Formats: sequence, structure tokens, C-alpha cells
Amino acid sequence: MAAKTTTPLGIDALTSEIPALEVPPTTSNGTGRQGLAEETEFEVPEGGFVLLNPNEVDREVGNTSRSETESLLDAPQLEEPGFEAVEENAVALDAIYASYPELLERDLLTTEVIIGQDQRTRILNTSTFPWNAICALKITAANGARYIGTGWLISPRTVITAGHCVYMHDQGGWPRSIEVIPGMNDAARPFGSGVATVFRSVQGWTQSKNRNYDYGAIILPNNYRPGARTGAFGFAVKDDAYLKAALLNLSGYPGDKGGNQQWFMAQKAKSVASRVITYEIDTMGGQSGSPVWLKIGNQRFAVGIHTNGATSGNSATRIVQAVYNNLMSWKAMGV
Amino acid sequence: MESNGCIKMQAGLVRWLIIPAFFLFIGCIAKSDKMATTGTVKGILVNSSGQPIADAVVMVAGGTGSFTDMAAITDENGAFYLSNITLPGSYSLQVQTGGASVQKNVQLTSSADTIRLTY
Repeated sequence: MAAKTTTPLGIDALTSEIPALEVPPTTSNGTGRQGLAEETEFEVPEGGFVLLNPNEVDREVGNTSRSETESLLDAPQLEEPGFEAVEENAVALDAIYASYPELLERDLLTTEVIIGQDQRTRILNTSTFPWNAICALKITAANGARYIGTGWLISPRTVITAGHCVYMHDQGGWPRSIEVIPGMNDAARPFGSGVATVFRSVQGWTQSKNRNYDYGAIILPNNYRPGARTGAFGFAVKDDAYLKAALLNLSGYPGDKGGNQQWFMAQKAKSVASRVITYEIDTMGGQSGSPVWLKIGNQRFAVGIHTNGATSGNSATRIVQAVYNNLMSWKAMGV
Repeated sequence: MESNGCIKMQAGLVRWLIIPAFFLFIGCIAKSDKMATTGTVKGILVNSSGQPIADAVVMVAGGTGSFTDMAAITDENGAFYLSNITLPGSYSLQVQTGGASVQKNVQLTSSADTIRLTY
């Protein structure tokens, strides 16, 4: 599939207002563009799963029908646009790195990634944006097995995460429930928590178990709207050159830290493929579903959903047009 | 004529060697594809007395291929399930409980394996 080379798309009209000087730095050749032949892409065995028509891989599937979901959630008639709550005084590492990339370069020179040495930074204040919009997930599979993961709010009640957090092929498929805890900080739950039973993913994951389509959504119940207080991530489709040049931010709830603390790291991509972004940002089990985002001015745009670890590079499902369209649809379910 | 006959015989011999070799090669590729698969493996976490450890976090810290970054939580029997891992494979598992952690290396061959970890 050819990579997009069009003007980057934003979640709404705000994207077109981005001042040119706030665009993340380009590569040393000044253009940052590289040929498709230079890209690499992870392949995952599809052992025994259905090979779908390419037009069907991003077709939405859920554990409830749209009408059932509306009934379950008593969907409100009101519509509200996505937004980002920016705390002026917040200590935002992603903002610091975006403004002073030389600090990131310096930090990178002094340390290595877990594929070497651990570079993660703990987020001590998780009650400010964007950290408060990142959620710890406590997952109970259909068969009762328990897991931890990470998700991020894109609307008051919509949490985006990895497909394998909302559909586990060997554990009965859709989970029994997922508890969502925005901005969890050890025992503190600054925005409370909600238990969700409505989930969405796409056929490329649920039927083909294809790593390229590993993304999904959690729709929170009507009576729990944390995104209205925390703010919500934007999301965007960016072309290869842009992603290769940009600073990627990733924050989530790693299990090696207990799964109740949020840890952050930023770095440029290692490679960009048509459906996957690969990087050497440190991650551990529990960070599946974490946002991989760009900081542009005061706006945060997720460009990937962290899913996989590997000694050769950790990786995210890339937000391409089809993913973007589903996120827009799921966002509307959680207004 | 005799030379032509010899060449024809050699060409026939080569054909009979190449065709089976080609199918053998394809067969090997198919077999290697089948050998690597993803699956779920059950594990049990116990302490040095053999008692199950509940509510510990178990995750893959490194190993064969690419693995999903979801961590498992042990139940009251110490049981956990590692999902979407490539089998067979060698893995470094990290166990985190009570503020301390330890890494264990395991060799997994199939989903039928049960990992027994002593913390």
C-alpha cells in the first residue's frame, strides 16, 4: 500500500491553523523525504486466521450492534467537538522536547533505550493534560484471565487502545469488562474510574489477527465522562517524511513499574511503514494501547497506537486514513 | 546424433532432478511458515514454598520476534496467560510483585506448555 504523501490531516480544522514554525524539525537533508524502498515493516504470522479482502480489514466490528450500544449507553443526543484541555502551568515533557529538541538529543546521547538502558521518566503529576487523558486499563477477559494495558481519551467517553486489549483471540474474544482509570497515579485516581462493556475493533484484527490492524476502542458508560474533565487527544494522519522527522511521545502504564504509575519517553521514529511506526522508545508489558503522539504548539495529535515490543524495535499501529475514519466514528459514540 | 541423444538424456535427467527439488523447496518454505505461530501459554507463579502468588504482574521483557505489550496478572492460584507470543521461542519473563521484580528465562515450544515460575 502506498504511503500517503498528501498534506497532513488533522482531527478538525485546528490542524490548518498550525503555524509553520511549530512543525517538528525535519531531517538533516532539509526535506526529510525518503523513498518507500527504504522502509521496513514488521510481519506477523497470521497462522490459521482468515485472510480478508483489503477493503474489509478496517471494517468496524464490536461486541454490540450500534442500536444495542445506543440502548446500552442511553446515548445522548448532544454533540460536542473534541478538545484539549491545556494547563498553562503543567510540566509537560513532550512540550519541552518539542520546543528544545537539543535537550532530547542530549538526553539520547547520555542514555540508551531498554534495548540497552532504561530512559523512561515517571510522570509525577498525572492530573494535568495530556497525562490525565492517558488511562490505566484493568482488563478481565471473557474467561476471567486478567491483564493490564493503556488507553487514551479522544472524547468524553471514548478510549482508544490496542486491538489486542479489546479482543483476545485465545481468551474468548471480547473481554468481560475493562476498568478505565484516567491519570492513575499509584493509589490515586484523580478522575475516578469507570467499568466498560462496550468495545470496538476491526476485522483485520478480530478475524485476521493481523498486527497491522491492531487497534480498537472502549466506549465508557453514559454516567462516566472523564474526557469532559481531562481534555482529549487529537489524532492525525501524517506522511512518512513528517513522521520520520517528528519527535514521538509515548506514555503509558508499564507492568514492570507495577502498572499503576505513568511513565513517559520521547524519541524519533526508527522506521515508518505503511501501517506500522517502529521506534526504540522504551516500553514494557502494560503499555499496549498507549498513545504515540506529536506535540504541535498546544495541540497533541496521536499518530500511532502502541502495540508491540521487540528487541529490534518497539512499534505502533499507524493512524492512516482508514484508522482515522474509524477513530472519528468511535469518537462520535463517546460524546 | 549420438551426441544429441546424450544431451537429451542429460536434459531429461536434469528435469527429473530439478522438478522434485523445486517441490521440496516449496514444501520446506510451507513447513517453516507453519512452524512459527502465535499462541497463548499458561503459567503458574509460586513462592519458594510452592504457594501460589496472586496479583503479581507477569510480562515478556524480551524474546523471539515481536510480542504484544500487554501484561498478565496472576489469579488466586498463581495462574497467568501470556497471549500472542511466537511459538516456539525463547523469552525473558519479568515478574513484578510487592514492589520488587525478577526476570526468568523460559523456552517455550507450544501452547500446550505450562510455565512454572518460582519467585
